[in-house]
Amino acid sequence: MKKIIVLLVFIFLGNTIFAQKMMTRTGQIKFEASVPSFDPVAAVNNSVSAILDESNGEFAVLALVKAFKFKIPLMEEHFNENYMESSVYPKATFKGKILNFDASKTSASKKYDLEGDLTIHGVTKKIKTKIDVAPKDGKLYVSGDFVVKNQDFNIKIPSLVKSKVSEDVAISFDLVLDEK
Amino acid sequence: MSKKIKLIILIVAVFALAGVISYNYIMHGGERDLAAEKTDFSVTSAFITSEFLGDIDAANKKYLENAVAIKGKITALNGKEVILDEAIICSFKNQDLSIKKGQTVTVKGRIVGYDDLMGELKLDQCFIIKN
Repeated sequence: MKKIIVLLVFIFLGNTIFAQKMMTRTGQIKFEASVPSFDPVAAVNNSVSAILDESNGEFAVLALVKAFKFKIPLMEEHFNENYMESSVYPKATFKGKILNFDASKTSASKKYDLEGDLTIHGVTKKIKTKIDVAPKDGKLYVSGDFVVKNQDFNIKIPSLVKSKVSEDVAISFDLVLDEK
Repeated sequence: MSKKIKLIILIVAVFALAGVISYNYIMHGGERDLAAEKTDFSVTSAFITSEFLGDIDAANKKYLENAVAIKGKITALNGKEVILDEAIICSFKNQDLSIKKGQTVTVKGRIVGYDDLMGELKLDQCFIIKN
């Protein structure tokens, strides 16, 4: 009986120690494609999902396009219907790897290289960027930013509004990963 | 008052009104009010989940953007985030203090999309239509 209890304790302990998947469903992604002196073209999504496998650094992020909120509803409508075609391509995803990720060494904030496939508007592109990983109270704070070009993802901005929407889109993300 | 002044006041008033209307249109036009919209589909949580699991493209075509009423049991409550049967994530427009974990409710909201990373369906602008 004692042995079984000891065994059970170890199994449960093992589970908590080796719980390797860290995740969130309330991550934040912001983007901005503003041109100075025009209305800001910016939106935020507060329901981004992400899963990090701590054993090998594999990292997956998913944002539903329709969950991006703009200040101006008409802008949101154009974004969904004309530029992102979110009824045909409802999600934007990233699948890749945090290079040389070592969970045991992340005791303080550290910069890592992130590499992988970014899929937006049905087009997949390889990207490479730097990210910050900071552990705090058992959670992992993952953040970073990078720039993409509209044309790389086949997103066409009509010439009429071309002067008001930047071709370079600055994307930033803030993900607080936790054990489920 | 001379006719001229009356005319000027009238013109200024017309321009001001046009300004207010166009400002409102630009800042708030296209906003949806789900409470006033008719419900496009009424389903149970198990039914709609199985549809998204079965054929995601067909389900997207059918449900995306629509106002849908979903009946299910509340398995988690976190401020404005309400989870039905561990698979349907509803973002509420306003926090609803009358509901509790374990209750079976019908929630109406806009279908935002299916998150196949977590295996969850997401809705926003949600509110309770039946306890």
